[in-house]
Amino acid sequence: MNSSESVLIHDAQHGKEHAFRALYDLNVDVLYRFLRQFSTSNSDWEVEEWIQRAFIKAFQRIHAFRGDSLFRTWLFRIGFNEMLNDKKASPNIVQLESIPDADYEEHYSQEHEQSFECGDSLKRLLDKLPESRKAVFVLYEIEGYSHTEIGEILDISESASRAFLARAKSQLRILWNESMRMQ
Amino acid sequence: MNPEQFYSNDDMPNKVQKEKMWTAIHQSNINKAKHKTNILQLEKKSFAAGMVASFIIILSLAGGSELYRMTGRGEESVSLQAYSRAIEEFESAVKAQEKSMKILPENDEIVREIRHGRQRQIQLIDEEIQRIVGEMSDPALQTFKKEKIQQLYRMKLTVMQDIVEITEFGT
Repeated sequence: MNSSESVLIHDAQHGKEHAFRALYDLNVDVLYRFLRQFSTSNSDWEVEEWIQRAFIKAFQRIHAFRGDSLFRTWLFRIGFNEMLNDKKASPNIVQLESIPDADYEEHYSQEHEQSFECGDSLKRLLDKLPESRKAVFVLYEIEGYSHTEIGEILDISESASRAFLARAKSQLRILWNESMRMQ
Repeated sequence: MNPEQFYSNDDMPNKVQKEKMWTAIHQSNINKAKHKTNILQLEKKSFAAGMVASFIIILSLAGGSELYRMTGRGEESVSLQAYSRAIEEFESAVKAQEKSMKILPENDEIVREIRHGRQRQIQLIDEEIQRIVGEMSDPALQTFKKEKIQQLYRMKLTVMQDIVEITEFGT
């Protein structure tokens, strides 16, 4: 946590309104663009709802935030859980995959081998992945989080995060090849 | 991978959306916290003020009773019947208020705390009313005491109204 963020957190913990606003301004864009990848609605209301609930919960629990991780990592975790809770409540139940730690080595060797096209085509392929794989892929490859941080956000182990990423890439490769064959 | 290559403009909230979300967050969260803090401070003050007022009335009652005994003056012009009717009206109003209070929820810790304090205040007022009623046999003091009972019932009603408002705020 950098010093300016520490000051903002400290001020927010003491109820200073400017700090809440600053924390919101600093993080709303990144949280929005991440959560939007999980929205199945054409309108924005679904993502807005997750964002609002994430910030409300984060601010309500700001006294419990001890600065062991970045505020953004903590906020992403809350936001991701809000999204998952909604999805679990919907008819198409989504569950995080469970990956035994031992499986990690099997997948890790593939992790750095693959690269994918950017933009819309990648998004379309990502939409076909389970939420957990998609989340790890976006957080690691796009947002630049480490596996340790992803573990904190998704409440999984670091090795599970690596395994999810490897699986995501493997599945993306298959999907990519399929889409190429169809063209 | 560069985020700018992956995300499109549609993935970002516009200014209007950001303000809309902030307004919702601000209203439901920060304002509520502030109100709770303010109410707690306010209630602590008003509870203390209420307790002081209770003691002033009790003390003035005791002092007034003593003065009555010493001077032997009675305010004969005041109708005892009118006081009795007024007290009866207050009692029925208090009973109606008590009924409505029983159905109010207690789902907020702060509200519960304040309400508990208020109920203790009512208990003290009730005890004082009972004490005065018990001493009503002295005809020389009846007028004076009925007036004081009326004051105590008025105070009790105010406290009960406070409880209703606090509880309604907390829900």
